[in-house]
Amino acid sequence: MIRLIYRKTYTSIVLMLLFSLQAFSQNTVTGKVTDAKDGSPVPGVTVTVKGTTTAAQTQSDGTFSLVAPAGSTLVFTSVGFTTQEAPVRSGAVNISFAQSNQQLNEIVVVGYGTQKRKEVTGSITRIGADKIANVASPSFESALAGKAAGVSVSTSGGTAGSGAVVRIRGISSISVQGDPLYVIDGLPIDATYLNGPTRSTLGQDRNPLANINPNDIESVEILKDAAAAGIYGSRGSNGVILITTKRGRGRGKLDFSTRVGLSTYTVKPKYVDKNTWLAIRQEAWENDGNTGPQQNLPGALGGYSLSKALADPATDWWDMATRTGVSQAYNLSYSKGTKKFNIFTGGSYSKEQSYLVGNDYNRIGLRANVDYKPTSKVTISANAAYNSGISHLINNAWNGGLGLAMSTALPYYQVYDDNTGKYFKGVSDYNWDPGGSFYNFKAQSENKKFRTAEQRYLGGLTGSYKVTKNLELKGIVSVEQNNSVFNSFTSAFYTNQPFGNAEDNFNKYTNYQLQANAIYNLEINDDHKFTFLLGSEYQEQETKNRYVFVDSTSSPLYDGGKNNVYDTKKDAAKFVTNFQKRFQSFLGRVNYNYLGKYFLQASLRRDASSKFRENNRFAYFPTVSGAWSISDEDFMDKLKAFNYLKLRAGWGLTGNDGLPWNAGYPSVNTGRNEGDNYGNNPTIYPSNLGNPDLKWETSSNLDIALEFGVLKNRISGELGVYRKQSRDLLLDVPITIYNGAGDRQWQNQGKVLNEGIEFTLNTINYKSEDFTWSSNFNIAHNFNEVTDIGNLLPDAIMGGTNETRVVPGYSIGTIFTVRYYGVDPADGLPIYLDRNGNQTKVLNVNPRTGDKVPIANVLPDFTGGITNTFKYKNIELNTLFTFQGGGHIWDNSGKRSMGYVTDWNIYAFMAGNYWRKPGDIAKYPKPTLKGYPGVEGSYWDNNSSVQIYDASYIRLRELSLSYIFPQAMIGRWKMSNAKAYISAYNLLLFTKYPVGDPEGGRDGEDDAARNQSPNANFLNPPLQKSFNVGINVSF
Amino acid sequence: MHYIKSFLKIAPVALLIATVSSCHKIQITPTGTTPPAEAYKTEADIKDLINSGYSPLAGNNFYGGRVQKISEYLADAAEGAGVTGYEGDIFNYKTNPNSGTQDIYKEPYIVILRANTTLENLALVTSGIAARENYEGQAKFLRAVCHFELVKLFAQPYGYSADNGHLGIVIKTKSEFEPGKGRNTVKEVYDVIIADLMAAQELLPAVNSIYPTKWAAKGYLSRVYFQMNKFDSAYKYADQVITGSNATFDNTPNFVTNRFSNPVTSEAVFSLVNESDNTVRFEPLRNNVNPKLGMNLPINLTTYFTGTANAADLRKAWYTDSNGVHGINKYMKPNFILPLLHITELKLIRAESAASSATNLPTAIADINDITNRAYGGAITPLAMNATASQILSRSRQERKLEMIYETGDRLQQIKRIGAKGEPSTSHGNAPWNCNGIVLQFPAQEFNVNVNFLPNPTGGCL
Repeated sequence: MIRLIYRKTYTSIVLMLLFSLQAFSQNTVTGKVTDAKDGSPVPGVTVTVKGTTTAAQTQSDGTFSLVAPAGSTLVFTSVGFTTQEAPVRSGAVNISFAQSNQQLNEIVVVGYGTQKRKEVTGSITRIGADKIANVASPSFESALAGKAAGVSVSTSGGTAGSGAVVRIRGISSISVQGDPLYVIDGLPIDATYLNGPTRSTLGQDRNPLANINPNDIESVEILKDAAAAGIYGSRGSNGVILITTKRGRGRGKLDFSTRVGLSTYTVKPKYVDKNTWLAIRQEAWENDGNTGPQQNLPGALGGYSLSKALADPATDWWDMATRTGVSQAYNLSYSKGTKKFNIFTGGSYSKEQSYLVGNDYNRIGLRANVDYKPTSKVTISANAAYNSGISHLINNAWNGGLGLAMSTALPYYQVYDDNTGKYFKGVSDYNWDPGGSFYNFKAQSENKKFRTAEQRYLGGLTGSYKVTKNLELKGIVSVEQNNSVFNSFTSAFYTNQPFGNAEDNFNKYTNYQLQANAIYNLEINDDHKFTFLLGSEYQEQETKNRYVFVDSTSSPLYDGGKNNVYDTKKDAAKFVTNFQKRFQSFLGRVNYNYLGKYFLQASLRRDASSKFRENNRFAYFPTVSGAWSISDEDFMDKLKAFNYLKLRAGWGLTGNDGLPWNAGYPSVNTGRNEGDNYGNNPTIYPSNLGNPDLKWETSSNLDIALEFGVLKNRISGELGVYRKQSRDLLLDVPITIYNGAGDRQWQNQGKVLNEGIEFTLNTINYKSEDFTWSSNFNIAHNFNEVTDIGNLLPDAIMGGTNETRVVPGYSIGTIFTVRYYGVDPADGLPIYLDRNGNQTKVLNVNPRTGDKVPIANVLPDFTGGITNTFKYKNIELNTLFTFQGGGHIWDNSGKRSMGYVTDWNIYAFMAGNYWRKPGDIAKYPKPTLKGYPGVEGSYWDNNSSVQIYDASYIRLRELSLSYIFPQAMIGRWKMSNAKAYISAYNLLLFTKYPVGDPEGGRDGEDDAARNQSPNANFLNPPLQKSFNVGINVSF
Repeated sequence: MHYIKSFLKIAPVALLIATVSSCHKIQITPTGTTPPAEAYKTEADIKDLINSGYSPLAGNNFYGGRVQKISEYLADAAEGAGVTGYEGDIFNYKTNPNSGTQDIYKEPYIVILRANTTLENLALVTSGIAARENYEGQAKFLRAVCHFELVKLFAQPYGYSADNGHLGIVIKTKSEFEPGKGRNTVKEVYDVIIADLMAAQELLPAVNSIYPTKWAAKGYLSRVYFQMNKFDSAYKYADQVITGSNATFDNTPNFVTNRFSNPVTSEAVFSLVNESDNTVRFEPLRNNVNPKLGMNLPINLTTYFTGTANAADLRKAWYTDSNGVHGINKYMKPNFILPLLHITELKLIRAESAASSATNLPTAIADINDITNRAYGGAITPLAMNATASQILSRSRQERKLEMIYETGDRLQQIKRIGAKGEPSTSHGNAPWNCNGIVLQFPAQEFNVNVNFLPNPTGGCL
């Protein structure tokens, strides 16, 4: 021990001596780095003496101090800021540091490394922490909306914690997931842990990203093209989103932020009131040839009493199912960097109530990121994060949630039964479902309880070793563990049995990855710079599921979030592996920089996935790309206005392996599971037809773009075009049922083309000492076409239960239905157009002989966003409008609300525009109870183009006003930074869509539905509108 | 040269990296499943394989409730006036490719695949010829039962066309995946059914635990021939079972509760079991007729009045009245064994076959009188010993309606059979026995992926 102290002291003395010896011949330079945006100090900036390894970091107050020879140059670098240089001079070196993604030397995170913006040969959009942390959504990806050209983000609905469907440059997959690959600090994460039935819970799509704490995020990089995403090979087809978490830097800094907010719905769909409903039904009754007062009113066995329905006050079910949601979030973090240690640690708590009664999302997040540099050559970094998300859910939109108020909860139904005084139950329409569906929201919400609880642990350990100045080796071990449990409870009142029932569906997911890579920098006489990357990776994922259903219980199988209710069945239940995947890759990349103006990059990745059989297990994914910094050419000197001009182009192959794990394996279930027993004897049986010949879905990508900056970057932007051809699509193909081998088989079939153009413009419209107005505008057009689908009929590949299909020559998710022509003024019956365009009153939906045609595109023609930032002194006003144009919405629920009178509510806009007597020119047909004579099947089959609407909209997605407190004011409380803001989300909406919110879709059914029906509506809860107040302070 | 040296330095590192992962194998065989080539190795595997055919047979989508419900909605006893959705499609004779007929169509074919797989692996049965014949007989029996139920629901009945060349269903007699098959004719389907049952009655033993016996095969043969209006054969096989098997006519007043109970009724010729700890077996059957859960398959007033008209009729106990909504509560017990074929039905077949062919009338008279005496306890006059064939026929059909109410979809098939025989016959709403819509439409999937598969014509019933 003594010896150790002695040695340490000795080392220190020697170091001090060396240091002071140097100091004699050099100057100590001090200075301060402030943010060009608001003048606040910027901690953690690396200040290097150019051409040496001498470096220091700025402290929390932005100051730095280091020793530098006179006449040398200081280089200031930090992720997210423009690298700047300044000569050493006498006196303080103060730097106004520009933090802007318009800037050219910004450091961006690329796959397996970082690059300067200028050197990047692919399409990458970077979104910094400040754009993410304060967004009033538990899930960071909704903060990406409108901020990057070609990145479409549509929130799924108003449910708390609900995800967003993120699509980068259109959609190229049909049956497998079209989501981008998400990579957190190098570890790919995905929705795999939600595999199986739990991905979609109660019609709400569970979001694998909801339990990632947005406050931990330093930056999000969106890799759009093959040049950028190609290094992720087989998983890069839909783009890659890299999430980098914060690391410690500067002198100790404590950050605290909090936010409280209120939320409500953006739009309330309008339905007719009680008396109008009854009057329309009376007309329907008479139209069907009946006379006298209507009978068989829905709601009771043998018919609800008409006189009672007329006499009782109307019930406002919408009002009962909604509320003003209250949300709050607290976040505390500490960051510090020293020569040997960097530490970032933080904790957060948030509780988001949606406007839906009974629905909330609560999250607790803890994180510690530590870097340790024992020597100048070695860095060891450790990341550890724990996130817990608990969400109380409501029943299916169409069976208990707000959807009830839009469908079966009729205004004359009462909350309580007059006779029993208990909740009114109504009568089931679904005779398959003997439990009976209550149409009483109150009864539902009190007697059916749902909860999901997730705990996610993310950990990573990185060791890097600088073998020589130019060679660095890195080894990374990453682990993810996710425990996710879904609970439901149905009371005895609801089941109508002596007991209620409960289920407990537990998924245990593990994901680990080993990575090793080497980076070698080679410089040949200053003109030629090479960076070589060579790496290998191994990933293993597994999900185990335990499902318990207890049919005689009076309480849920959880308690207060601890999940500690024991039940003999639950204890006895076993975990069964229901997903496993192994993935192995080798990758290599070369970057070549010639004269700082010509850049070339080539990469090759070889992936092997256990999802494919031996014959097709391996695949190679190459990319080649280049960039030319034209503005660095001598001839550009004459074009002074252009301070930056860069042309880049790239080509590459990417892939998708998003299959179920067993798709390639014909199999027999030999588990002899007790549940399959017959006569107490075990059974084995053929269970999966499988397809041993499956191979990768691949996309060939071509990308060309021009980046520019003029007038000292007052105007900058990018114009890009791309073409992506995907083939061997992984399709979940229906197979002939009579084989008895199941309904479907995975096959490689079909081709899809995506072509598009993207434009981004950043402008500083006005700039004076006190006032700045800057804008970001982006718009993208994507053309999508299915070019081949084998010999499948259009109805073979369905987008959930919507009329969205895959038809050659049309885009993915084309609405394929019978054309609605109008109403016959003579008899009020609907007129359709047959496949040849002739009028007919027969709605023929037969897939072989029928009249369904592809008529509308669900994908928008263009999407984009406009951000305006106005800054006056310490006040900043920020607005973000997002928009889309040209797409269509399939309103799947409309078939029961526009003429065919069932036990559903009726759209208000229908009431004023339907046929009532001969001669009437109306949009909607005469009301009927028994259906239209030409409609084969029931109201579920009453689909036609009358349910299609224009999905165009413009919305004020974000509006925020913030105030940065001046240093003079906050300094006395030892604060280095303080900001207060108010913000509003989805405040305004401009749309022609009459039913609800055009954004947000019923995407939860499966991957195919997410791809094909991004904005189909089936009683969707509209998006959330929220108002928030928050403060961020730093000490 | 200097650079080459540098590259050489990197090379070993690259190799090191390469080895990090190459030691891992990336093959994963999904757990709980076995490749087909390794799944069937022993006789025990075949025993468990054939046993797997019965679970779907007894399942909710088959005899556990769906066959009965669909059949009753198409026949004339159920009240469907307020029924909407897919069930409304069925009741209104307008099923379309999306009308939810997929489950009832799919389930029998699952059983057929399991039966065919058994037949192709019989070589593994090495314990003796009896065991081997037993498994073969069971497989053929199951295959016949499934083809039979499918052809009855998805095609016009035998006798609809003179040569029965009208379209039936796809016959599957091998496990091989065969895309692109067209529908076989009804004649072809019946030929296969009869061939399978003929073989099964030879192969199966007389006593076979919970599994079908030779008597079950003979009983089904009788039912199939009866459906074809082939009365000689129908009579012959019914007679063989009634006189030869262990099953006996339950002549006690308790027959109304015994029929669906545990232990099984003495009349059962073939039945599906309900394990003592299985609380969900036949759940839909229980619920279909359970007024407490909301009457899911109510009967119409005519049926109710006809069934309860005679105060002495013990079968009145099967009828319930819940606030004016009526139902059949045959399947009320929390645990019961479901006979798919019983002596009462075989007696009715024997009697009607005899009357229809005007032979063996005394047997027919005795059969009908057994049934009426049991039900009414002498409160109605039995058939006279010299009753005419048409008197027997009339009484037999009347009693069949009462006895078989809500069982195995019998009523619908009688409507079709009588029509095919040439007599006037209609279902609810006066729908002709042979109108298009009384036959279920195939699920869309069969057309979407197979150009050779033709849909059923639609409409024409109401």
